[in-house]
Amino acid sequence: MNSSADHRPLSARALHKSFDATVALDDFNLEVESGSLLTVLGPSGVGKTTALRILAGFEMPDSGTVRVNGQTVNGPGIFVPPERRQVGMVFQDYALFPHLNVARNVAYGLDARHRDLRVSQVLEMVGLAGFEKRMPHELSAGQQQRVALARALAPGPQVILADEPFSNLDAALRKRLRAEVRSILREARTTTIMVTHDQEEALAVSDQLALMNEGRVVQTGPPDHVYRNPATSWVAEFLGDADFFDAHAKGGRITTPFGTFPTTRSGKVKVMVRPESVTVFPHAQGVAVVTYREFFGHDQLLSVKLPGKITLRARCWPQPALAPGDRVAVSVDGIHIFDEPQAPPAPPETPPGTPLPQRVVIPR
Amino acid sequence: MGVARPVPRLRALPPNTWWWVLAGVVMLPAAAPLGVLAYGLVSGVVTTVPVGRLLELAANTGALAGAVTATSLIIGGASAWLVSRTDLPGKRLATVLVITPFAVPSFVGALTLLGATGADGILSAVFTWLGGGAIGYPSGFWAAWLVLSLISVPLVHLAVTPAMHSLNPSLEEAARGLGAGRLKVFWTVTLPQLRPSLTAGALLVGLYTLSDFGAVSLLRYDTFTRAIYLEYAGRIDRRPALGLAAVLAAVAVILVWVERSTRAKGVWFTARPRRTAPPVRLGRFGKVIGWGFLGSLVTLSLLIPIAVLSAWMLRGLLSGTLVDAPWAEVGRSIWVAVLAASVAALAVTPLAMVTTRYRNRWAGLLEGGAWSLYGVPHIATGMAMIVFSLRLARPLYQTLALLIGVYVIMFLPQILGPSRDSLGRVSPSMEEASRSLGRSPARTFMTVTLPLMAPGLLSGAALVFLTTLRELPATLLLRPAGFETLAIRVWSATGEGFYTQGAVAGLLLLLIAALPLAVVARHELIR
Ligand SMILES: Nc1ncnc2c1ncn2[C@@H]1O[C@H](COP(=O)(O)OP(=O)(O)OP(=O)(O)O)[C@@H](O)[C@H]1O
Ligand SMILES: [Mg+2]
Repeated sequence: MNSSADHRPLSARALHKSFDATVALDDFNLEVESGSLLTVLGPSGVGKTTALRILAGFEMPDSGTVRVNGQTVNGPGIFVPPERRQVGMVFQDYALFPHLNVARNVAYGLDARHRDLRVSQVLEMVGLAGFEKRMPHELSAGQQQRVALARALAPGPQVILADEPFSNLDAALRKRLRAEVRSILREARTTTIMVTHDQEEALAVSDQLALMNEGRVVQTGPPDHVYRNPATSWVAEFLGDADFFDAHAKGGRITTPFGTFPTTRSGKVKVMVRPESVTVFPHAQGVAVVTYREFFGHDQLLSVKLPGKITLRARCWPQPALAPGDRVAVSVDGIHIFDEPQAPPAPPETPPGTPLPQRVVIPR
Repeated sequence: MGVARPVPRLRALPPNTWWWVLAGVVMLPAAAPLGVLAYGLVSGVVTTVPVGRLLELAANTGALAGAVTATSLIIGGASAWLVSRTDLPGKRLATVLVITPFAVPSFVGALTLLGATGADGILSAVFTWLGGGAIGYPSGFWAAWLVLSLISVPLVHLAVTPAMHSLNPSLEEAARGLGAGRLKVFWTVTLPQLRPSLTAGALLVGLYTLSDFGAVSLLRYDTFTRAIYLEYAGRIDRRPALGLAAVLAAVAVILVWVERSTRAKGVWFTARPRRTAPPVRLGRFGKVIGWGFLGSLVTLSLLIPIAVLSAWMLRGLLSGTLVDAPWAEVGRSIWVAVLAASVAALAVTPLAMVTTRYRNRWAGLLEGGAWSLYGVPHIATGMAMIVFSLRLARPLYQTLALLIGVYVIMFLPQILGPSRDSLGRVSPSMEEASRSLGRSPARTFMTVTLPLMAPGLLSGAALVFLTTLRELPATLLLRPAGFETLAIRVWSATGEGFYTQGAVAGLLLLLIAALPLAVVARHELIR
């Protein structure tokens, strides 16, 4: 562990947590850079909320360490209670105090010194100057959300944690507000960890993405990097559309019905193709047949069948109009290759000669 | 994005052991009466109470409970229907008038009946003046039935009204659409929807009748409670009284548990439907009949008592027999009621915290204990505590501390219900927000939890105040020697035929009891 890691606003190492029989966290590791917005993304029930609650001090891990700004807050024999962690929290239900007005909600975590000044500063920042005297129930959902954010920002915490902060809002408001919140956080130069299971939201707002599955972080990095270089086929499939097929690499290349691609691997591999990298055009001698078409206006999604029982989807410009049954040529401008995942290639009960399933279905 | 959200789990912060310790300390005294009654059940009854007597008392008590329950169900059901499902004008006034008799203690009702009739009764005087004869003193079954039924109507009215409001009109319309007539719809669709609340109301009234002491003893109807007191007052040996009390307590505890289990199922019907049914149009004639019905009800249960008591007071003033008002009793009554309400508010807080935040066996045990004791007739608890303090806690015998303590453990569920309701609206995330904003658990409790819980505590405390004010049998058994409250005054004056003194005390009691009724939201009265 180098010394720079020690001064990260927040870091978690090897967290384990189980509830009775359920393992919620299993070797969970996370670090966040100062001033950045990190999104923890994963399907439902993988332990995102549990992780966040442990970081905030609301839940006790079974083992592992958590550090805030270099100080251990969870560790062997150490537990710093939430009120002494300097970790702010924005709750899914906002958790505004219903008996206090906006100003007093925001002032709740502040000392008497400079209180009024800070309250108006923060309310200004979230665009709610003039709402001081309103009670929480007199605000719209979006305004409540921003009060919750202001209240968490006010004491100037090391990190702000937010568990699905937008999930209570309707789709349109959600899009508007997430852009707003992002710019507020930028302006405040706050380090933020946000949890969501909405891929689009995660890709749109974060500086860093941490993909989580089955109680651990499986990949971290900037959103576009993770999208383009998924570490596992699970990540690839979870983050956007992807089609998979098995292929054989030999002599530094992989041969597919739509062309040959260079590779450093050899042997059995798994090939991933994203629909947006597939282009199709009508061609009487084309290798593929259109099986299905979905029209979206700004683009269309075509499903095409290639030799070797390969099915690909193509997301493309809706011209020319193609219909199921049309013969097409296919060009792919980039594939991603994974080593065949299973170490023992076939489960023992599979009789020899039975074809393996084309697409490995990853349970969500 | 279309993913089903899991139900949020109840979560609490780690350091909360103190709440458990406090809740245990609060509920520990409740073990005393329950323990003594259990002991009385196994040891006392078998040896000391003749079976014939037991059966006679059971028959009398059962007949009264059955008749009162049936009567108040019909009247209370009708009044609830009128104010919730029809276009009767002045519904708000009607509601207030119908539920106010809740503040009339049964012994004041009995006093009214006795003061109205007989040779010098107020109604007798009116009848004589009109050329008729005096009305004889009523006593026994029918007298007790009349008083208790009138007092019980508000209980049923309050229990049934929410369910009436939330009847789902679509169901009735669907049945009509399938060709069912009005009457068939009522029996097959409307009544089944109301049944849980009717059952709950019936059990409340049954329990109330079972435990009533004031009316049956003043009107000389031989039930368990009256027999217990007579056994206690007339003998050195306390075992027969304790044995009878134990039998009564056992029946009541069973009823409480039945009531609680039906209530759980009734929850479905309290949810408001998306659409409320259009009110039934009564027409001019119907409205006259409706108000005629409500008017006679209010006259019988509220106006006549007030008129009769006032007339006695006036008579006393004019004839000079009324010399002093019972100010000392007023002071004592208010003092014990305020003490009981405040102690109950303090005591209920840890109990509300643990039973709201935890759903485990221990929380169930604490809450079940509180509810069982609530159902035990006060005279039985009083008997048990006499035996307990004489045998095991002599220094507490006939002290104010013991009396207040008994009030608190008897009435705890009245304040537990509303406090839990308001505490249930404090999501754990609010407390967590406070913690992550740098506030300690104690400060969080004081600045977030307690203020949000306060409305529930307040209306619960008002209920405890009201109930303490009109409590008679436990006060009679456990009060310090010479400690007279308004309730005791009404009871003893009436028993000796001093209706003037009784009427003054009764009127003052009604006046004071009406105050907390104003504080309590009406839906909180029944719990
Ligand atoms: N207090 C608890 N008691 C028992 N099990 C729990 C508790 N909290 C979480 N779990 C379990 O731990 C696992 C992880 O739950 P967690 O709430 O962290 O998931 P999540 O990733 O936040 O899911 P979602 O996206 O649906 O919010 C789940 O299997 C859950 O059932
Ligand atoms: Mg979650």
